[in-house]
Amino acid sequence: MPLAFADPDFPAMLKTVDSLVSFLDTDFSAEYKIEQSKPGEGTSVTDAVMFRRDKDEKYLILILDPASDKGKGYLKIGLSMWLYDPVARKFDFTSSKERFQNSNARNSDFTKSSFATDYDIVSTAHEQLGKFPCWVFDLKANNDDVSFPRTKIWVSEDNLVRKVEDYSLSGQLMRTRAVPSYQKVGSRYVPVMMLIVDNLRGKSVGGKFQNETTRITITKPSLSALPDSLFTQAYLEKVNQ
Amino acid sequence: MTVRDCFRLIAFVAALCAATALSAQEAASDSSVDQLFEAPQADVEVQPSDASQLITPFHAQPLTVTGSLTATGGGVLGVKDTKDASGNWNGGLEPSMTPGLSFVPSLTFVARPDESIRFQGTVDFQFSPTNMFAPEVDELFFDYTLLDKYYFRIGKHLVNWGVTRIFDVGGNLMENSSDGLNAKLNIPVGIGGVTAVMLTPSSLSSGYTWKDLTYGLQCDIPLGKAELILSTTAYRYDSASLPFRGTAVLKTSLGPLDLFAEGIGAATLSVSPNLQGILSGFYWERSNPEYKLYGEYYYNANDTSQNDERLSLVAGANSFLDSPFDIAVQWTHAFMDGSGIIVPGFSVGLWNHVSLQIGFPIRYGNPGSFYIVNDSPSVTTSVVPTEVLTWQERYGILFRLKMTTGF
Repeated sequence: MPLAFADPDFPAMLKTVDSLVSFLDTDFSAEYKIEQSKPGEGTSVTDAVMFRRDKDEKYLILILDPASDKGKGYLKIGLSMWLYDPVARKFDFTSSKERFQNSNARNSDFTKSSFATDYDIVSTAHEQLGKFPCWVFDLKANNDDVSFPRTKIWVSEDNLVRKVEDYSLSGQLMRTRAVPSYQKVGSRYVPVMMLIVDNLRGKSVGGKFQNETTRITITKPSLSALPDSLFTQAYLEKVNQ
Repeated sequence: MTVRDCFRLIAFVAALCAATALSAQEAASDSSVDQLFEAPQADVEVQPSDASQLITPFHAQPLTVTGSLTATGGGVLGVKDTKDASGNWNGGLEPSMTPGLSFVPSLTFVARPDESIRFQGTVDFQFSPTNMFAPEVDELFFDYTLLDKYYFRIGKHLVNWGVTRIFDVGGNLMENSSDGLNAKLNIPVGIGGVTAVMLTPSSLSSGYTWKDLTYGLQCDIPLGKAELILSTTAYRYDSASLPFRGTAVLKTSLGPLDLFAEGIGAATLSVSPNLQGILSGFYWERSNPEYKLYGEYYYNANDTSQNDERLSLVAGANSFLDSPFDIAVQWTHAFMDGSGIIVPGFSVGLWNHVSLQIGFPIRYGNPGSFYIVNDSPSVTTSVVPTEVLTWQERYGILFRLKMTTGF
């Protein structure tokens, strides 16, 4: 361990990690571009708008593109989540642990960060991640509501999560997330781009195994207050044809 | 070496290979991820955008007119039961053909003058031999939001209550809501909501009273972390036909599987409530490539003497094995008499806007049994070509050419 790093208060550090990327005192909205790459199959792009109210554990995602999915909406309130199908004009109850638009992102990736409350620290270590000196937290879930029971996070000196590895209960690496750079909005941080590698899905192309990846680019971040009515099923029905 | 030892050896080698392959693929992906941190773009500070930029496109929209055209033609070639003069099966089969044709251009307009109001309408110009391309208003309604909390939708439109995808057995209490005018009010309450609907019949004579109208009420009550997560209850009062109908729906998800159970009941003012039926099912889908798997079970509690239980399963895959073919199969079975219908099928795009759908319907069961005389319930997957056509063939080949375009 380098001398420059004295052991910090790790639980407090996790709380800081969560607070920097959560929006408990404001609403949050932004445009998301989700590029899903499958080896040998090309890339599909989904454009969406995200509206978040972390203090009430709510979010609404509206799909703008592709045309076949336009108007589809995800509404999450607490532990309940609905998917609105604009063609059938029906709501389906779905699990927030599941994949978002069948990408490598999970619906839970769009909620506030909760490492400090949903996980217990198993161990910590110090590691260099490219140019970032990082603390590495090995975490174990303390409840069943999270998408992954084990996770490992790399936290840089500015208390931002740079890399996450999600594991199954048996220790199988399921996926890896990387956030090389952030954009600071007010006093909070939002990834400029997040890369998600699915460690289980992929295909051999030209004799080399390539994993499925999802690249999420976030633009137009906003902290403006959003109307209460936005986080309702009625709103999803209203904005759709 | 015993047979058991052989299996153990094979299992060990397989596990070793799998572990090696997994660690190799993890290592490959891990290194590519770590490269991102060698020279990353510096963190930046940005000015927050105005959220109205994101919301406004949903709230205000000039008048937009779009159209679509769907033309479908096809038929079923096969054999069906021969019948005697009194209509009973006489033990033979005869070749037959059932044709089907549909041609529906339609126009849709939408306008959102401001965030509180929206107008929308769709007019179909359906071809029929007796009334060629007569315009028919499919829907025409306006939405009005009062005090940002009360959502009204008033006009001619379909209200969709119920969760069924296959069996049309009364779960959607509003199945005929688009026949006349209706007014719907939705009020979000907590994380659920209450919806009230008032419907007129398809035609109203002058001097009608409130008794000529139909009324419905639905409550959505999410139960959060409970095992049964969403409960929906709906009631309908209709003095003209069945005074009270109601449903209770419980939905939850188990991993990637959506599950539901729905009870359908009815009552009159003079008779106590009775259970009409129970419907339950599951739904699973993934996209890119798209796979769907769903099934429903229905128990008809209205007539317990028949032991009327039905089951239907649907499986479909788009671009099956990277081919241009979408494939699907639907199996529907009636337990009361052992009859059923199996329709495997595929769909392939032939030219721009034109697809060919082929199915191989097979009916089984005794003459006069439920699915020998009744049609298969339609399904939402477009691959199994049961739409447009109703057929009585026992076996056959079902073909359909479909052209769709939007403008």
